[in-house]
Parts: sequence; C-alpha cells; structure tokens
Amino acid sequence: MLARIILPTRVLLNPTILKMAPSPHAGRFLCPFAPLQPFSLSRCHRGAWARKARYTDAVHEMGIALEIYRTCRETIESHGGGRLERVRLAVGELAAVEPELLVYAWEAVVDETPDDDAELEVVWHRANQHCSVCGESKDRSEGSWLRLCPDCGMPLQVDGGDELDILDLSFESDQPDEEIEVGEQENGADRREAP
Amino acid sequence: MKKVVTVKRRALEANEERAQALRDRFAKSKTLVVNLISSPGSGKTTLLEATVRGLEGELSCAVLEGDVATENDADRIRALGVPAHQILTGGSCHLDARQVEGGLSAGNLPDVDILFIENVGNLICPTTYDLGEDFKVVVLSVAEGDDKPVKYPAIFSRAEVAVISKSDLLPHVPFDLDSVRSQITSLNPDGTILVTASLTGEGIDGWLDLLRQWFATKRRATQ
Repeated sequence: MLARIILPTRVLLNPTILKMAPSPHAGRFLCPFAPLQPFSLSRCHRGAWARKARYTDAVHEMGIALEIYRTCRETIESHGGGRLERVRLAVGELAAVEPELLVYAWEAVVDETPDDDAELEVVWHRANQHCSVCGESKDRSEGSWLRLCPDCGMPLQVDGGDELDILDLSFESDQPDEEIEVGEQENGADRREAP
Repeated sequence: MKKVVTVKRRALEANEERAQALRDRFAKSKTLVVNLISSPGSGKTTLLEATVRGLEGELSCAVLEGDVATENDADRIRALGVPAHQILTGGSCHLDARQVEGGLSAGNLPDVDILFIENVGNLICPTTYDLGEDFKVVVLSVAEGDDKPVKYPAIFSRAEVAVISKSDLLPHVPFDLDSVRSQITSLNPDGTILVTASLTGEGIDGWLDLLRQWFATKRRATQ
C-alpha cells in the first residue's frame, strides 16, 4: 500500500510530467483510499519515455510527437543504433497540426532521453487551390481561401496540404561507417520555423 | 559518424494500421461507419437521437460516444433502445483507432447496419485520426457563427458531408447560410451540405436518405 502511494506521488512531482496536460487518473494518485490504480509498479520503472506515453492523447500534437519519436528510434535501431540529431517532418496546412505546439511537444518527448538534443524540423506544405477550367493553381494568401476562381469564376479544387509524413532523420551512429545503409535526403517544400 | 536516413512514413502510421484493421472488420460485418465531428454543443447527440428514431425498424444502429467525462450521451442513446458505449477520454481531445477498438470490445456492441462514432467535441484534433470510418460528417450549428469553415479548413475539406444544424434558430442569429455554403464548397467542391433542425425534424429526411444510400452502397461493395 505504501509503495502504491509513494511511487505515483514521485511520478506526479516529476517536472517533465508536471508541464504536461493532466491525466484522467492524476488526481487519484493523491488519495490513499482510491481504488487500485491502472498504474502498476512495473509501469513506474519503464523510464521517462514510457511515463510520457500515458499522456499521448492529452493534446494531439503530443501523441503525434511520440509516434514520430517511436518511428525514429525504430529506424535508428534498424540501422545499428545511435543518437538522434534531427528529424524532418512534412506538415500540410490541412493536417490540423500546429507546428509550434508540435515542436513544443517534441521537446517534452525527447527530454530525459538519450536523444534530448534532437531537433524536429517542420517542412511546411501549403494546400493548393487550382481551377479545373483554367488548369492553373491560383495564388492566395496564407490562411485564406478563394471562394471561386478569380479569373473564370468557377469553383476551385483543393489539393494537398494533408501531409503528416516523416521525411528523413540524421543520427550519430554507434556503428562503423561501412555497415550503415544511407538514404538520400529528401527535398522538402518551404522550410518553416514554427509560426 | 553522422548519417542521414530516408524514412518516408506517415507520422501516424500506427493509428492508420489500426484503422485499416477496423475497416476490414467493418467490411466483414457489412457495417456502415460514420464518424461525427463538431465543436461541443453543435447538436451531434440530438442529431443521432433523431437519426436512430428515424431508422428504427429499418436499419439497426449502434453508437460509440466519445467524451472527456460523463455517460450522458450514451445514456441518451440507450434510452431509445439502441446499444451504445461511452468512451471516456479523460482530457483527451479526440478519439483514435485504438480507443474505437477498445470501445467496441468493452461495449460488447452487436454487429449492426450502421455504427455511429460521435467524436469528442472539437473541430481540430479529431480531423487527423482515421477511425476506420466510411465517412466523416462535420456538424456546424448556426449558433456557432458563419465563419467557421474557413477558420477550421482541415475538417471542412475532409468531411464528405457538412450538416448545418439548429436551422430552427436561423431567425434569431446572424448566420449567412449562403456564405457558409460557399466556404464549404471552396474547401470541398464534391462534399454534400445538409441543413437540419433535429428538434423540429427539418432536413432529417434528407440526412436519413443519405445514410440509406451509403448503407446500400456499402452492402453492394462488401458482397
């Protein structure tokens, strides 16, 4: 019983956890009379990353950042292991993902891991509005949409902008050079700092 | 030694794989699956109540309700004799495929003709998560203001149907229906726009016809 109270409290006071959105179970950790938690002893010891995994759904950028990190680790392990330096992610204007929040979530995800300096670079892709009559893309300002083709008045089609793709990553390898398979770096769209 | 590796994978691949497994499962059971997305209070549950009443004795329905807290919505559906399960997300802003999988098992829902998934009230985050549905439907009530489609373009560009709800309030609120139609059309030229008032029944027949049509198409496609 004592262990059940102390361990969750330690987790609750962890600074990394504190800056994240609260878990549905967070309040119950403080109550020694609460029913058995869905939080076992072994789960407390899976390290910072595993603890954060419990918060995947709290903000959707957090869940996305965790998935990206998971994929990065898988990729690096399959290439002999190493330390992640940078990952590039294509994000479309219609992906419903806010780059600034995603980068913030990413920093929380890699914090306290061996990859804590790893950077997430967002490669921003705008959606395109094109006219099927004129056959051309139409210029518009970011964040606004054209109602109709400014040249012929026909409805415009929206293309692209739903990207949410991990493009490539760079890492400091644990392996000698010759054992590593190296891919080409993708050319992204417009580079964008978090807005 | 610094190395660059091409990855080229969807960031939410794990969710998309789960959603595909759900889609296979729904194809087997020939269940039409509709994912309802809107901001809180736009009338998703009231639309569902009108829907299951309208389809009673014709098509079997079940509902998965997603909410941060309370069983209220599932209770409202169950009160109409329709199986429903409440997924409590506890602070999370959207449903994902894993939660739908879990909700189906936990709720022990029977195989039905139409499964409605009422997402957590939010116009942003649910857009990104595939739940294995056949159609996304976005609901926008006239009380929310007529600039929402261009403010939240992601969901309005992806939802096959936009339901403008609470049209019985139109005489009382400033809401330019033509402007909303044109905003939605510019984001999704092939989408369908319906205007409904669940409490008075306006437009509900058109919505039910659309569901019948989708259901018939799914039956044909999964034979």
